[in-house]
Amino acid sequence: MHIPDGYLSPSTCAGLCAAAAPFWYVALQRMKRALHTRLVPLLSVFAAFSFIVMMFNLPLPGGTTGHATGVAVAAIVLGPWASILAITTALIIQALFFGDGGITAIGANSFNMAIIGSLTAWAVYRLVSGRSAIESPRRVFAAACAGYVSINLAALAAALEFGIQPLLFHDASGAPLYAPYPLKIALPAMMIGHLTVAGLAELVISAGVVAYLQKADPALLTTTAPGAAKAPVGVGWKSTKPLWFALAALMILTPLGILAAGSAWGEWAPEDFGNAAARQQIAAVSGNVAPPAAAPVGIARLASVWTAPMPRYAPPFLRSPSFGYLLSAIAGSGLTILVFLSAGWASRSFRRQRE
Amino acid sequence: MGVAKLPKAARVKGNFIERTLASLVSASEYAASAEALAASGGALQRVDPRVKVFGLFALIVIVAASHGLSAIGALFVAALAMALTSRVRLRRLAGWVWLPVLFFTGTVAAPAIFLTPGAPVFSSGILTITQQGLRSAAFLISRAETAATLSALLVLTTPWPWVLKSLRTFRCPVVLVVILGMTYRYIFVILESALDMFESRKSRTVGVLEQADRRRLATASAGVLLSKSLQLSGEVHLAMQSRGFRGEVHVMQDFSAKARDWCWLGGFAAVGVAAGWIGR
Amino acid sequence: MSPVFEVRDVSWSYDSVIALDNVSLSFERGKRFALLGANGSGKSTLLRLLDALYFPQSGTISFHGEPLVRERFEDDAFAFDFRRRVGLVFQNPDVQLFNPTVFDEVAFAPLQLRWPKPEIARRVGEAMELMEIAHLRNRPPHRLSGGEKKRVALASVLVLDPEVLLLDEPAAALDPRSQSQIIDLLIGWGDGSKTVITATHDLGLVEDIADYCFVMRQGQVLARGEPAEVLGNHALMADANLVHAHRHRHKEGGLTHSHPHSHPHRH
Repeated sequence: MHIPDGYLSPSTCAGLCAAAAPFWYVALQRMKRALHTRLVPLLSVFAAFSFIVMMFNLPLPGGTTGHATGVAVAAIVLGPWASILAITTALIIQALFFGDGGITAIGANSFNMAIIGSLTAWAVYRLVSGRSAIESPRRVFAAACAGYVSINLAALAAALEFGIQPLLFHDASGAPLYAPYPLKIALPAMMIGHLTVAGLAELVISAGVVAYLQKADPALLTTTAPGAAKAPVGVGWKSTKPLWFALAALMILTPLGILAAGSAWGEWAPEDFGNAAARQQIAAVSGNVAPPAAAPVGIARLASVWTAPMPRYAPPFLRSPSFGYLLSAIAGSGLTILVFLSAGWASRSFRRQRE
Repeated sequence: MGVAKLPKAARVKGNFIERTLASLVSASEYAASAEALAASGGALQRVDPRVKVFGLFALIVIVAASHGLSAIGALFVAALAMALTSRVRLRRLAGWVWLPVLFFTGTVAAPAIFLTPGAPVFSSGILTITQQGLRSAAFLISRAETAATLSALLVLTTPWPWVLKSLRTFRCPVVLVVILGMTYRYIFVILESALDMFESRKSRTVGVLEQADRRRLATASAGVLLSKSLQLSGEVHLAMQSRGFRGEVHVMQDFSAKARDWCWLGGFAAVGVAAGWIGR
Repeated sequence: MSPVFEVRDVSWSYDSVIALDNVSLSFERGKRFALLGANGSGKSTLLRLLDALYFPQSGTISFHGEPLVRERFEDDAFAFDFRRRVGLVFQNPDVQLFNPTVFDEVAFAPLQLRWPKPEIARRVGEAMELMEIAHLRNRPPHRLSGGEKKRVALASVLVLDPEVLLLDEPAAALDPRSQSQIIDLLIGWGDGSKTVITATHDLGLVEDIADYCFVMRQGQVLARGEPAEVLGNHALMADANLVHAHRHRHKEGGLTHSHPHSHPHRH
């Protein structure tokens, strides 16, 4: 998730720094007031901890391993504002000293992971956990949701940032100067990886650490649990089963909105190059560089490969294009998750056969 | 991407414990190598850290802003020259910077060769390579490599506390400089803890663990580190108060620019302006 | 001679664990004291209370007659004065060494007390010479050995030239040579005007570094007296869990001895 130098234009980077600045400022003021002298040691040590956790290789359902940022853990344990500062600090150290993430991209990475990540993780956690007791399994579930949703929203932001680069920044010959993929490609490319591996890694670490702290050190969970009920009354894991099913459904359906948004902007379909109105649109969006008169040969050929089952996301037997979007999205992401899980199941059964 | 996630770590066989250990150890070794290099006597090592921070950052920004491949190429050559005169062996740069960047950004850039619309250069059935595609891949990779080389040069030739202190000269808030310094300091303490924990688990883990157990092991390790870290921060807080800390942070530095440093500043400016002009 | 510290009926607990239970002691100026006790006896807690890092939940601690209460420390002038006059060396040097380099560490306290920079540079140089760490000036703490870390920790406190030095297990986890270096330094430091209070479970140190001891167990003062008489009282030492008896192999078969063993262990 760490964006290196060269993927985003300097103006994009500066813009994201400017967007991040108010959050940093507010976070620092609030934390100075809240923590006083504890601010420096708490943020420093926690940032060091985050740095180390980002290096953990986490075993995931399905048999793979992945890395997580731990941003939801930070937001749950420290609260959103301290989490913004701690994660930003860890990102700065990673970029400056370990070459993980670009120096010009520090603002962008902080905005995506530290700011969007912390705020959404905290919001989801609070929303889902409600007033349940600190030791309640519902909080573990809430942490899982917080981790999954926050990292995917951060990835979405990054995908949007990548996706607009080729529209806005290219040289005289039309070659994109920075991230070369339009939204139509950048969005699915970023999101597929994060909806599966990275999202699961974040889910695992968030749920796992909260579950551990519930037993080992519940006091650490009180910052983000105001009004939590006292000891749980007969709340067991059985009652959270429907919640986990709901989460699974969410994970499969979420892509629909994302893919629908992506395909609506920046499409390069061959027919558009011949259509005058469409050409004008493309020109306007592409900084007034006129598109070639006929569809570039490459695009035409590539388009025909994809036309097979679902042309322009609208299966021929369905009148409504939006229903087509929906189906395609579900099919696409569901297929991905299915492939992913079957790979894990296959490797497990293969291993069992060998024993 | 980045040193901490070198392809080497990914290629390490074994379970997640061993791979995590490999990542931690490689980060620790990189830090040690950087400290050793920064203490040796090369060209860049002798330059005032503030000049280096300003100069190298400025060049990175110019790399990012450039519209010309030749300008980026020229800056890469300048970076190489600085590396060679500062005892930074090219083979080490290749292992730490060039190969990981190529691995990551190369994978990201490769499809662009086919997917970018433009004038076709080579075509084979369904896949067509366009000139714009090649250029855009070249931009992405060359920018990433050059910027990464320049930023590595800063860290390999300057002790990290001095990099941080130089930031004060550029109006960076003191509290941030102090927090960054303390974070860097405690990364090594927590790294030690994590290494100890994983080494002992590695030796105690007999046989193959079940999936769920492996996950629990990983997350419990993170949980233990978290508790330890928070406890440590409480103790550090007491230690700071014991020495008079009341919330105001101070930093003391004694950098003094010599004639040589001004020459270097001039050099950075000249190279930067030239590259900026070529690639505008 | 009025005591430098007067502890009266002080209790302190944390998380329903009673760390100190109604203890009273006093420390005279210019003398060297040892707080003897096993881990968990409350000696570290007492040191921190003396350094005004915690405040007693009942009872009072006075420094030169002035009670140490939280409100008093809100006054900058009082706080800075106290911090300059009393220094605490923590048991775990990683807690005390939180700056990026050795120089920064030793300069931290003078910077906090807002001494002028040239003065700081001079005093830091002197403190580093005293502790023989001048060559480590630009070294980061994670590149220091245990003994070097301890010397930096001491330098960072001694740079202020405090009146009172509080030490929490100064020789713990050090190799024998570093231990003896530290001890030599402590014996030599101060000239009758400095007060040293050392918390330790290492009975071997006590006679060298203390004129008077307090033996603690489970948050209470078990006994007090001069080192020779306290250490010679085997029953007392066993009661305080500072020695143990174990079987010993002699030529003719087993014999039971009690040894003044200390049990250093890492948490």
